[in-house]
Amino acid sequence: MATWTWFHKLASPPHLYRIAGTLFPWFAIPAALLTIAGLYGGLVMAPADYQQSDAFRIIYVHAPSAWLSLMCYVVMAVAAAVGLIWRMKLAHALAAATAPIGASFALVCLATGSLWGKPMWGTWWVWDARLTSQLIEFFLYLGYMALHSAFDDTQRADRASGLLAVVGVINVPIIHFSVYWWNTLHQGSTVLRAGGPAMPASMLVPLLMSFAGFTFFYAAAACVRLRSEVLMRERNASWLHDIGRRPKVAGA
Amino acid sequence: MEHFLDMGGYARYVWPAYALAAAVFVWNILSACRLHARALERARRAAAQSSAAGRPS
Repeated sequence: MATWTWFHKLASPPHLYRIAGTLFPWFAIPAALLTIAGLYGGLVMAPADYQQSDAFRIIYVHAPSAWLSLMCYVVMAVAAAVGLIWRMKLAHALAAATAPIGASFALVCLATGSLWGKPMWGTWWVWDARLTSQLIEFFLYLGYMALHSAFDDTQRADRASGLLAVVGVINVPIIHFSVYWWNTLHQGSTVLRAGGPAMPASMLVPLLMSFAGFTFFYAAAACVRLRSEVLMRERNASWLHDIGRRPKVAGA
Repeated sequence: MEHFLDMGGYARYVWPAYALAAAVFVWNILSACRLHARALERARRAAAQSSAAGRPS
């Protein structure tokens, strides 16, 4: 029983609004520290790669962006599924809050991959399994957002776009395993691979910090977006009017 | 310093990658703040309307 109380509390808009506000600094501060430390480590501290020289440093923005775009998709799809199954509108709010963040990092992943591919493979783009499935994921995000904004009625928008998010989750394992299932130009995993990470600690530590920093950044950005979604979905609720009446509420 | 900026001859690939990542971080911060400000403004307007009508709904 007690374990479910927090879940029910999350379904209450004023609670969720407050919790997201309380959690925000706990995500934002580690996000800033870890991202800056990770990228500094990757650019300055890590030694150049013996094969790729300094071009490999793109990995410190490319791989965490790829991770974030996949993680956001899973969060969005699970939230949408919860929203569809249990008719929990705040779960849809989380999905809607997550989509633009995931889309933006999917774009970073694609563009930095292209910038890495040109010097290493000799081409900006190839239609191989990894690149194509990642591009499809970017389009799924855009599709979710376009579909969501196509309805005036939020509930119908949530249901239609939520269904797209859930169906599209099939693409996530395809992206992850594409480098093993098919003969792709893209290299295999560096960190999550059998036999442990294929990197010395001086390269790996900044990368892991970057992964953590990007993940915290998602959580912080999602808190702010989620609060906005809650506000917009609860336009006429009385608890909201208490917030609306306060003169200065930016930090509330 | 020059050696660092040169990135082993890969400067024109490495720096745009980092610049784009930085731009997307900034975009995420600004757009989230703007969305929140807009949502608060709407909430405030709704509150003003309902108190003018004499019913806190």
